[in-house]
Amino acid sequence: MLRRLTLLTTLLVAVPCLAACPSPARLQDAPASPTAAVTPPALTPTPLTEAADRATTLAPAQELTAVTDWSQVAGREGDLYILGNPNAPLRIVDYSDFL
Amino acid sequence: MLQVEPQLRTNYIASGRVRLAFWYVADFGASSLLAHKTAECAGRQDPLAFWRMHDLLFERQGELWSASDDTVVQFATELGLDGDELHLCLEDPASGEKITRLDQERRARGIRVRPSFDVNGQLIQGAIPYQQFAQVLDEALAQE
Repeated sequence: MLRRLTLLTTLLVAVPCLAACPSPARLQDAPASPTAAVTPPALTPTPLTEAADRATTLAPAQELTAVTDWSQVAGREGDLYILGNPNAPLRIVDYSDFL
Repeated sequence: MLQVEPQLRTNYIASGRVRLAFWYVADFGASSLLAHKTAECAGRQDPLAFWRMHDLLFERQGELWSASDDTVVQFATELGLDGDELHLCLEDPASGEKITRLDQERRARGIRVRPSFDVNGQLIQGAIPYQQFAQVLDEALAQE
């Protein structure tokens, strides 16, 4: 009876440990920094290369969508101050006085 | 322009289809000149500051009749601009000369009604309702 109880206790402790407890080897391999320990494996050369390719592909699109509100963009056109897209097909010249 | 401009900015300028330019019309002597110089000098610090000052000058229009350099320098500091730099710019003869030149040029072009608008060469004289303005813009855009 005592022997069966001891065996049962050993199993109860050992089985969860198979999943969660680090082996001595894994403990030795673990990096010292806790931050590095949770670094995802995605930071390998292959994903980085893919990311670089993707960035190159997206760059022109990002340029096109970089300005989402041209009413916040201003510049000069000759003597005049301009509000909006300098390449807009239409230009309104407002002849006005502030008074 | 004051009435329709917010809608134009939202519906046409923000999307990049239309750009807006401002041409100085100085119909009220020294008061007009000071207001225009204030906008011009704000623009010299930053083109977007021209438009922020443009909006502020219209908002504070009532103060412009009796405004001094100190009044408009205060406007500039309210917008976060360099007041000393603006003051120096107001005293620069080139600022006033540019405004006078542009005002004379529009007179020479026969633009006498204020406000007037030039939409890619099509002249609109006098303030018109937004819907009418939008129709002019839509037709002009369709031709582009």
